[in-house]
Amino acid sequence: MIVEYHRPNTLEDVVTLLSRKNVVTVPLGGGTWLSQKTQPDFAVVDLQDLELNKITDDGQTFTLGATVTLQQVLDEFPISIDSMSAVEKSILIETTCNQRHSATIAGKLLTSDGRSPLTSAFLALDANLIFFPHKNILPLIDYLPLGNHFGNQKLIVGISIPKNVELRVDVVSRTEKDRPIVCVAAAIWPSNRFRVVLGGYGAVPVMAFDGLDRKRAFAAIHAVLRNADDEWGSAAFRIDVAEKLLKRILSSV
Amino acid sequence: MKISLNINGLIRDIDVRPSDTLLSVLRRNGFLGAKFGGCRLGECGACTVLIDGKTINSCSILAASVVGHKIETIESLGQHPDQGWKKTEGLSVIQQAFVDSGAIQCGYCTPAMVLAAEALLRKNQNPTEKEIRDILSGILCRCTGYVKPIQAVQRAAALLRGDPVQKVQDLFQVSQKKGDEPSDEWLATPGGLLDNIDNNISTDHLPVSQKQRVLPKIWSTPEVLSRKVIGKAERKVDALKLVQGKPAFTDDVSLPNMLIAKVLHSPVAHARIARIDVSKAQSLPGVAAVLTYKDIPRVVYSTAGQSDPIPGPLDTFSLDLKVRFVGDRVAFVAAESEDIARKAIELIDVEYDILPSVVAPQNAMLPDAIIIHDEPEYVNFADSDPSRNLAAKIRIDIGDVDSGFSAADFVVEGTYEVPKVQQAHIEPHVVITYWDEDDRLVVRSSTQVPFHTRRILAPVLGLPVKRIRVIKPRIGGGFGGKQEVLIEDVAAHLTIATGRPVKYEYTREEEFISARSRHPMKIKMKTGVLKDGTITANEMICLSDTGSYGCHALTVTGNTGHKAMALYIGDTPYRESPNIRFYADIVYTNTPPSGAFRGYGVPQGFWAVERHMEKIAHELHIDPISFRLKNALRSGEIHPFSASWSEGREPRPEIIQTVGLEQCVKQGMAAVDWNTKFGNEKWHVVPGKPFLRRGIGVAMVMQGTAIPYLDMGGASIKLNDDGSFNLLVGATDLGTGSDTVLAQMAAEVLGVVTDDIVVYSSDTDFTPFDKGAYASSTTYISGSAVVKAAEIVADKIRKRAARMLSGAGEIVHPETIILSDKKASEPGGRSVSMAEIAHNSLHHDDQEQIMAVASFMSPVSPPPFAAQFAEVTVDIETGQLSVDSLVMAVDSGVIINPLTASGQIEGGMAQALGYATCEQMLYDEDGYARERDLSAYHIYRSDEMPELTTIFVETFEPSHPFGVKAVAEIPMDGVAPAVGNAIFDACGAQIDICPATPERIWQAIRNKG
Repeated sequence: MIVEYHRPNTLEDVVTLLSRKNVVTVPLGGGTWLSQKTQPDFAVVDLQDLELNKITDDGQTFTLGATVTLQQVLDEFPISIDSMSAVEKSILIETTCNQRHSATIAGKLLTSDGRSPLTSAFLALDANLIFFPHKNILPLIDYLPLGNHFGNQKLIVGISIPKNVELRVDVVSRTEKDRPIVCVAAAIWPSNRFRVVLGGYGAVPVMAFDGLDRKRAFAAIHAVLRNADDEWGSAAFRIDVAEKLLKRILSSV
Repeated sequence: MKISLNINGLIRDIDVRPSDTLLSVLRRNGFLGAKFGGCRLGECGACTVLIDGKTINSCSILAASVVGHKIETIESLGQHPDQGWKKTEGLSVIQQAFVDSGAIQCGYCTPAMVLAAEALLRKNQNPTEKEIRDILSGILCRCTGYVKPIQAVQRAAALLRGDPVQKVQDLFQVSQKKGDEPSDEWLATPGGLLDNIDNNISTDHLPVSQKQRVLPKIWSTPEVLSRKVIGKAERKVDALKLVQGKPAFTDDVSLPNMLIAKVLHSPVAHARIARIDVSKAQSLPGVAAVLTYKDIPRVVYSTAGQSDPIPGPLDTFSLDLKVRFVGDRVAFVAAESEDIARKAIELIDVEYDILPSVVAPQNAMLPDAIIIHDEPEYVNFADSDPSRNLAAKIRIDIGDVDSGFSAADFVVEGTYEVPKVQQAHIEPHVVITYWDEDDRLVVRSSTQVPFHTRRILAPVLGLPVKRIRVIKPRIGGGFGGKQEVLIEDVAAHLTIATGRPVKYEYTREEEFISARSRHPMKIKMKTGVLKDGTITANEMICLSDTGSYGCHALTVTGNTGHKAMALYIGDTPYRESPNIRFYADIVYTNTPPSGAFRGYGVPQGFWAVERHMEKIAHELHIDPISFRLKNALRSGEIHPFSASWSEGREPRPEIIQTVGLEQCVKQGMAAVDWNTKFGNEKWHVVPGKPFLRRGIGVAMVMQGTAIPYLDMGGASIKLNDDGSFNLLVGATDLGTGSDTVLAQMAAEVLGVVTDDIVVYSSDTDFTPFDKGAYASSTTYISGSAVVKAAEIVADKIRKRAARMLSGAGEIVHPETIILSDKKASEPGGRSVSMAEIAHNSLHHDDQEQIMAVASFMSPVSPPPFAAQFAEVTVDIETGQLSVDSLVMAVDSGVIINPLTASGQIEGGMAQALGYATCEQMLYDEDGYARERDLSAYHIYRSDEMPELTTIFVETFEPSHPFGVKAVAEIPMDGVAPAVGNAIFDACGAQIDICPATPERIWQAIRNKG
């Protein structure tokens, strides 16, 4: 359980705390996940005084500070950009109003599983994680599958996503606001680059396709989902439904 | 560490640990309006507070992280307006709207909802319904279906804007007047209650949906008399305390030196405990006691909260040397804190001799199946046979079933399945036990059955009944889950062991792995039918899974047949002599025990019966509604099972006096516009969306009202100095509003207002016996006891008033006295007030305490009836289902309080909708539960609920003084089959396994080719 609480006001102090060898120390965003963790003993570093709760327009990309809440994404993300409605839809499926007010974007992405439509959406957008120090950048698609982010001494300060991408997310679930059993997130760049991410099962959503030939995305669905049997749905169901959803997405863009 | 928190505008310096959540700190410091829902991920939202004006789950945010922020709790809002010499501004507008709109049922989530509304309306006093549903989406409510809370926020918004808003009660009175004049057309009136609003008052601010939702539509028969209090939309008697978040629930007290209990649950489905070493746990600082099966008496009992003798096997021990499911009890710990108790649990070293397990019920009675109950203490009931894993067996043949099949033109067969589901009350099971100053054990418990709890606990603890006192505070929802002596013994054993107060509260995970749930069943139907649609014989064969213990095994499954198979008896000549067969085996498996859950076996039965009836009608090309009504029970006919089976005493023939089913169908059809939609191919198509199909479905259902010749309720009433009355009842209001309707009945008889009846329920030391809240019995059974007691008191009041009004040669006869408007009046117009009568009797002449105790037991169980309608949209490519609206027309006899009664229907429909579409508890082959929280086990949120409409068709049930029948359970029965039938109507997919998940629909569409 949490044995120390720190609230520094410089990023350098955060890094110093995270680097300690004698106690596992982890960054604290909204606390929705960490506040419930009872093992092992660990310390938290609250990031709320670091002004990481800003959304900035960097020209070709938007950067969401690590502690931007999901509600801020809904309230402050420029509504005009193509991906907004799909991001909004994902957030509204995945979280309740209360959760949106405290859950941070970085915390949510790192603690979610394969059934998260929001993570599927950000993976489809080819989101990048920005680390401190040195502003190191790592694609979310490379970082998430590593797993075990707890106590890895890394500090994420932001997440960047491209501005000019059209995003669609479609899901099938037991009810409108239930966790998806099948989730298809697809992003289309002006260059016709096309990325498809499949969620609704597993530890993390899976990128099924990233290329120009959209027809090959359907074959990719088969390849990725052929073993996607779990207690929530069969692979045959997921493959068939994912194909249908992808067709609809393609016909809508 | 010491931190400063700004709570409700005051800075408080508080010692906290880094791991302390805001919820724990608030509750330790007396802010008890924020509730604990047992969840880990902030799913339920009962703990909602405002941080800087935003709704936040206080259970999942660290106290330290809100330093520097503004915290607001429910305690910052309004108060009771009249506090003696101190007057306050009263409740806030939002709180008052929640009270007036009937938005409060159990009240456990009410403070959270009020705060959410506060956050919304501060920013926006003209919110859309979508915005209201969104702000409430973080707060799960299992009682209301969100209808009236949304209505309350709309009402508050209108009031805050300064718009004129009529009293809810006024709206109702007009609509009831209209209902007094039965007309086939009235439901078709555009706008429903719109017409009833005074034309001089602008109603533009009120959305149509608001006006229609405030109160149900009521169709009354002329027999329903217009009364002063009965039938009125009175505010709930407990609403004020609940809307203020007062410490009304079990966990809202903290006793000095109180220990926290935790239970070590079995990680395996079936095993003997070969070795158990608790030494490390015992030596952990802060641990007060560790108990295993070696430490406490071995007393066999049943946890089922039912009257004596319990109609089921005795097969349970507080702790045993054997575990029978993943989640079964292994050891108890009591410690100074929850953290210490949890650590102690981890230090208990157990070696299990793993036994083969039976998880699938169809394998339970195979010849080589492992015997789950091999203990010698096992006590059989009726046909239970532990050597065959058989907890109960039912074989009922009515008429000559085989001849009926022989006479049929068609015999239609089908197999259906229903899942195990959870009650998911937001307040977890919780109990506090302690020795009082007289060395009596006090059990403060969130229970539906305080008197049964006392009786069942006594031998388990080695105490006589007279040394146990059970107090039931407010209950944060029960739905049958608390008709069980589930955890009271844990805390009680630990109090006996330590001598100290002990609290034990389930986490949400414990609710899923260790509490009770609805019996899953596999049901085979076989029905003989003539070409004209007459049913000649009807057969149901049922395999029911009671899990590892047999609590409620016989009675739940008995009701599956007793209610669901009773509705369709066949038309003449079969109507006079129906042919019905109901066989059931209720088997043990190594899964968590099943138990009581709203509907008590009947929803399972109606899933099979009503899906089956739809198939028959389709196969015979008969209109499904005409087919059902042709074969359904009618007034004056005998309940077909009444001479064959009863869950109480020996069966006795029972005539059903009132059946409003046909009128329910008529009104429901009008409300859903059935004739325009059913069979209209054009309506089934969604323009621009070729992959979507609309469908409409119906189900007809019946339930029971109490258990005849068995369950009894008592009430006592006494007159106070000021003319008010204390009403003491053993009945347990678990959020249903039963305290309110009991008060209304007393007030009606005594000629006072409901506010003059001070209700207290329940405490085994102070209130008369009552069987508790189950079997849809409180309004009927306990209500009849209240009426009887009130009539005795009224009689005494009349006699005294007659004496007071007599004199100077003028004799006033008591029988001429009328009690009304808080006074007793003689025919000449002279009167004395209740207060004057009270003073006269208590202080002046021939002093006596005017009071009475009465009880009631019913020889009949008059069934309520209902027609349930559902509209759906199905994605025929993906199986995605959307339930668009639910309409339920109910014959529950006379409605005592339309606000509380419609709340029951709305909440029941919402719960039943989960049963229809998403709720189920699954286990892997080793017995591990898939569902362990309210994320995996999804219950509907406010922002995804369909439109719900309630219609009451009033009949006058002659066996009750005010003509009532039950209302609480019947809304569970029809939604799932109506949705299943609507899916069939939409796309031809036959869903035989409930719930209708996307993959099942997708598969069914493929199966039909």
